[in-house]
Order: sequence, then structure tokens, then C-alpha cells
Amino acid sequence: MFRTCDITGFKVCLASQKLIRINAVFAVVSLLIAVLGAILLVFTRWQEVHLLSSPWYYRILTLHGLNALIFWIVFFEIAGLYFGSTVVLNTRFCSPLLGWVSFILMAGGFIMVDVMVLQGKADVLMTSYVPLKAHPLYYLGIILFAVGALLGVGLFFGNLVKAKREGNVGESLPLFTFGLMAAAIIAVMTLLSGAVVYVPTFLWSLGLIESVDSAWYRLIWWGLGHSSQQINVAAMIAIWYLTASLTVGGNSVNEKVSRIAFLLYVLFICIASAHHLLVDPAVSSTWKVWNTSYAMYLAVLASMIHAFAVPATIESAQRRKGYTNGLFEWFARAPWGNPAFSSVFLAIIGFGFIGGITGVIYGMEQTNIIVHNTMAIVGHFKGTVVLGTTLTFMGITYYIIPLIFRKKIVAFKLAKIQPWLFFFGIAILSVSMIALGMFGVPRRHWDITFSGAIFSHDFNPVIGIFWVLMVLGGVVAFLGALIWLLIVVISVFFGPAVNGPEDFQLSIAEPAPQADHGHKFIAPGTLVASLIFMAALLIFFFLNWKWLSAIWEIQ
Amino acid sequence: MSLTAPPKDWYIKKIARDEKGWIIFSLIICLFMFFWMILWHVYGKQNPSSITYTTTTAEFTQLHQAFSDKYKIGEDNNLPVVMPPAESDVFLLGQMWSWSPVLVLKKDEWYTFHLSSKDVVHGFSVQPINMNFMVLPTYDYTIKFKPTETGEYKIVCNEFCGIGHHMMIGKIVVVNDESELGQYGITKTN
Amino acid sequence: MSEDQNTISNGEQPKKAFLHGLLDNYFLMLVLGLVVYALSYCIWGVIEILGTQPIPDEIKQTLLNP
Repeated sequence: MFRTCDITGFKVCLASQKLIRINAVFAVVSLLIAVLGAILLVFTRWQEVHLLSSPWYYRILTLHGLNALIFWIVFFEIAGLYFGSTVVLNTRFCSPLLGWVSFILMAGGFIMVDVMVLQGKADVLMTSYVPLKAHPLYYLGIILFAVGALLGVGLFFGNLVKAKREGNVGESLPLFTFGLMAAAIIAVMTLLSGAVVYVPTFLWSLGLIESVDSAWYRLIWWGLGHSSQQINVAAMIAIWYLTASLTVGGNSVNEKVSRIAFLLYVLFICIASAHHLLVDPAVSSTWKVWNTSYAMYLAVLASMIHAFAVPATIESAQRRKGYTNGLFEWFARAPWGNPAFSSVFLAIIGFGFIGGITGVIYGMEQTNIIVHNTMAIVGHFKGTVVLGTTLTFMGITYYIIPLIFRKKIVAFKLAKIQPWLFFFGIAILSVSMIALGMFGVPRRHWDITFSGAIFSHDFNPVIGIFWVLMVLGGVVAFLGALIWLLIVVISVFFGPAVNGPEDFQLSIAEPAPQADHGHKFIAPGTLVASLIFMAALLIFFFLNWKWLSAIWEIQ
Repeated sequence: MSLTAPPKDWYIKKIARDEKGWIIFSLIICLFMFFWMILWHVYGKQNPSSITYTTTTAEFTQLHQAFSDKYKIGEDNNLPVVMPPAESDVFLLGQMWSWSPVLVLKKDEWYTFHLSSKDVVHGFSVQPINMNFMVLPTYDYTIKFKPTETGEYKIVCNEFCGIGHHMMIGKIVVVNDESELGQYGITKTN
Repeated sequence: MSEDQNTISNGEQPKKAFLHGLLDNYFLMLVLGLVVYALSYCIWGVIEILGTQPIPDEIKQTLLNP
């Protein structure tokens, strides 16, 4: 059963549309839980308020981590995978029944985990490092969620096969679907790692296995924990290319290059789960250097390629439309009134300058010594997962509401401000956390005044200012997230229906006029911006190695 | 358009000059960073150790006890204060929620630390120099340290280890010689 | 998959370059990705963990049998 979209012209499989909707709704519910948890955590870590008690701090931290990093992201990605493999390819969903089985497993696991955590039966944080032990139903919940998600990923591939068999797609997938395909492959590795680590841990929690080795657990768990965030990277960049098409009519400046970059992700990005084991016992420096560098930084190269290609795609399209003055007219005349565009462009900047730079440098074997398990790491992944992925997903939702839910966006003026609020809030939060980490402030710590302990430690008093900035950023970001959540919920459940193109508040750009630039310069503005980015990376690189060289000698 | 099939010539389309230049430049930076890590192992002075031994919590606790008894010079908050000779093996035990013993080290001397846990995973974070390593039960992580400045250092636990995690804090004092012990509140009793 | 040639094909090239074929073959990409990850990260890592030796006696002797 299809409907033909009167705005895009795509044939939309109704069974698929239902599955996309339900997964997206659960994604939003997860994000709501994560965001409510986040504000409680910010006001607990700020010692002036110190809101939650010690057990509740760790409980809410567990809840926040799981909902923000796993449930919100994976529910949204499953919705995205279904969209990219059916609607985009004008194809029916290969097995709606299995789609619902997948959803029920995921939703069941999600509820089971959150209930266990809130009941205080899983105060183990998201990583649940053995031998810390949670209730068996907690592990079972995660296993069910992972199995459901793996089934969903399988259905994505099923849809691709079906689309090809029915002649809806040729040899080469559209770039957006190709990027999602890379994300889906990374998801397979991630979820298999999850199964390998959680099944024995579940049996151990039941008393059927005597012990689980802590080094082995950390190795495989990070194959899940880190790789799951690499699914985000691939999915997010796929959405960046999509947004470039929807908002300015741009097509990747070179599809081959963009596709090779995704291939490099598939081949090498997951081995950088080693980022988390750089100061661990049991694995050698050889293993660490090879894996943490994604095999000589080939996945970083892929990110550099996208970092140029996506803005270049936008720039090139804008230039072909006539915005050719100077280096940055294309940028000034970009559709900033479109909240999807502003979200994505801000996400690119935040992901690159904050998440990317810190990620590369903190992920080097030796420099990791001065940041491991400090707040700097949290600051880093606020830059990647929140500024990058979450802001991107928020942005593309402004297209999903009218096109998939067929509802108008309420308070559209507020929607235009929302990405900026969220961006500046998280950017300030993230940079403050990085600064706190530089002064040695630990992450996952209820009380850095060490109340009740035999010794104490006074951190450099300058951190006081960064705590205040962190709270400030946290509050602004909280408002940005809350506005987004309200817009989405009210639009979807109570908003006026979209009855035709006249109700569509965004726009879908015409493809930019063709102009074969051949081998000439296509994006000088982007090139300049990229060089500034590389300069920033190198400055931060040398600063960190200088700081490293000031500590004790270590062999 | 990223939503439709790529143009027919997508595989043979020439790469624009600026994109190609950027890719080559990025590749050079990538290789530079990779070899930098290796060269730091040769010329740099801060490199994580590759030596780990397997142990049991019982064995490690015994070693830690014998080590503490052998070089004990006093007490601080009911913890033994231990001053091992330079170049010796130091057995530091993490458990919920303490680091034991309190260590007195000499500046510019090497010590071979053995880090392990009696129960769950802990994080060995020396402040204020901000130097961080993981401590796992049943593994003896063997790392050589040479303190380069005198002073009082604290070992914060920076991996979640239960409700009392924030109370887990230990102490290392680095001196030029024993006469300085008094200024860190340590009196030598034996 | 060869019977799909009649759909939307890039017909002018009879034989694709290996990389071109790989980029169009998501199952091959899946397999290669899994192999690299399994060998480089998981298996190598597990081998190193399993390869750790007990604390050498000479270290223990100095403390336990003075």
C-alpha cells in the first residue's frame, strides 16, 4: 500500500511509514528522559547546588547515558534506516511483521532497562564494568533491545535487496542511502559485540557463570559502546548530504570520493574502540597505536574528506545559483531561515571544531594519559554526539514532521531559534567540561570535595568559573532541547494536518544548475575554512603534547 | 541529489583540484600523527607500559601487605606510610574505597608500580599533575614512574566503583630527602 | 545479481574496477568490515589478554621470602 507524496513525489509505503513513526516517537521519548536527567546531573556536579544524593546521582547518570547514547540514537537511526531503504527507493517494506517484532523487542528492552535503573537495581552506570553487578533483567533488557535493533538493521538490508530486485534502484544506491548503509554495517559490528559481551554477563548475573573477566569485558564492551557512536557518525553525515540536497539543491561534489570515505568508515572506524583502552592493562602499545589510529588514521582521513565535501557541496550549489562574490557570499546567503539547514551547519561546525579535534588528540595513545576519565572526555563526546549527531537529528526532524507525520510545525518562529540555543548551550557546556578535564576533574564523580574521605584534594580554584559556565551552557541547552521536544510533541499529536504543498513550511530546493567545473577549484571558501580547521587541530595537538611532556616520566 | 541514483559517470568523474589537494594534505597529517605516536615511544618520556601480569586478588593483597610491612615508616589516617627504595617494586592496592598505602617517593628516581584492585574496576588518577591509568582486578598493571617534582599528590579514583566512589582518595608524597617529611605531616615512627 | 543489468545500469562499462564493484556491493563491504574489526580489534585484543603471564617469581621472592 502506497501513498504518493504530494510534496516530494516519492511513493511512501504506508506500512513503512507506521514503523518510521513509532520508532521516531520512541526516540523522542528517550531523548526527553535523557534531557530531564541531564539537567539534574548538571546541578549535582555543580557543588554550589549539589542537588542529588550520591545513589541518585549515579542512578540518574546511568539513566541519562543509556537514554541519550543508546535509546534516543538507535530508535532514531532505525527510523532513518527504514526511511532510507523504502521511501527514498520507492519500495515496499520487505516484512512489516518483522518490523513490528523488532520494534516490540526494542521497546520492551528499553522499558525494562529504564525501570530497573529507576528502581535502583542497576547502579552500575552505562558501562556496567564487571564485577559491578546489576539485576539480571537489566542485562536482559539490553540484550532484547540489541536483538531488536539488529533485526531492524537486517530489515534495512532486506529492503535494499527488494528494491534492487524490483528494479527501483540500480547498481549504485543514492548517496544518502549509501551513507545509511555504512551506518547499518557499523551497526552490525556494534550489535554483535553487544551480544558477545552481554550474554555471558547476563548468565553471570543469574549465577550460571562464575565470573566474567574485567579486561575482556572492557575490550568487547567498547566494541559496543564506541562503535555505537560510530553508527551515529555515518548516519549523521548521510543526513548532512541529504540536507545539502534538500535545502540548497546540492549534490556531493564528487560522489566517488564521498563513497570511498564511507567505505573507510566501514573498514576502520570500529577498531578505534581502542580509544577507551589506551591506559588499560593487558593490551600492548602495538595493539593500542594501531587500533586507536584506525589503522594509520584512515577513518580520520574519511572524516576530513566529509568535512570538506559537505560544506563544498553546499558552496558549490550556492555558487552555481549565482552567489559567487568573494569567499563567503554563498555562506551569508544560505537558507538560514530553514531550521534544518541551520541545525546541520551548526552541527558540522560543532562536530568538527569541538568533537573532532578533541577526539583525534585525546585518542592518541600517550596524550590519553592526561585526559582519560576526566571531564575532558565528556566534553569531547558532547561535541560529537550532542552537537553533531543530536543536533543533526533534531534538524532533519523538521522535515520528518511534515513529510512523514503529515503535520505542520507549530511555533515555526521558535523552531528557527531552537538550533542556535541548543548549539550555543552545548558548545559552552562542552568547552567548559574540556577545561575542567584539563585541570584533572574526574568524570562520573559525585563530590570533588571528597566529603567523608580521609584525604582531600583542592583542584585549581580557577575551575570555579568553568563550573559556572558549564551550568550556564547546560541551562541554555536544556531550554533548546525542551523547545524542540515541545515543538515535536505538540506538532505530531496536536498540530494541524498538512494537506498539500501549500502547508509545507520548509522548502525542497530545486537541484542547482549544472556546471561542469571539471578539475578546477569548486569551493574556495570551504578550502579556506578547512585550512583554518586544520590549523586549529595542529595547535591543539602541540599544546596537548606539551602538557603531556610536563608530567612525570612514565615507561 | 543524494536521494536519487548518482550520475552515470560518478565513478570516473575527475576530482576537483581543491578537493584533491585537501585530501592529500589530510593524508599527510594523518600519517604524521601515526608516526608521531611511534616516535614518542623512542624519544618521548611519557609512554604507557605494555607490561601486565595476571594475578589473583589474594596474591596481590599478600604482595601489597608484604611490601607495606617491609618499607613502612609510619602511619597516616590509619594507612601505612611506606617509603620504598628507588628502583624497587611498589604494590599499590585499590579497593572500595581507598588506595593503600600512602607512598613516599624520591624525586628523579624510578619506581616500578604494580597497580591492581581487590574488588571492582578503579581509576588511578594522580592530581594535580593529572596522570590517569586504569586499575583492574586480577591484572597487575606494571608501570614505571619517575616523579619529576616534589610535593604532595593525591590519587583520585576516576572510575565509578560504587556509592562511596567519591571517598576513594590516596596520597603520594615526593621529596628530595627524608628531612622534608615533616612538612607533609608525616612523622617517621619506624 | 547479474540479471538486474536491464534495470538502471551504467551500461557503458562492461567490467567494473574492483573498487567500483566494492562500492556497489554492500554485502562485500559488510564482510570486509567485519573481518577487519574482528581480526584487528577483537581477536588480536583477546590474544593479548590471554597472553598475560603470572607475576614473575623473582619479583615475588624479594617481598615474600626476604
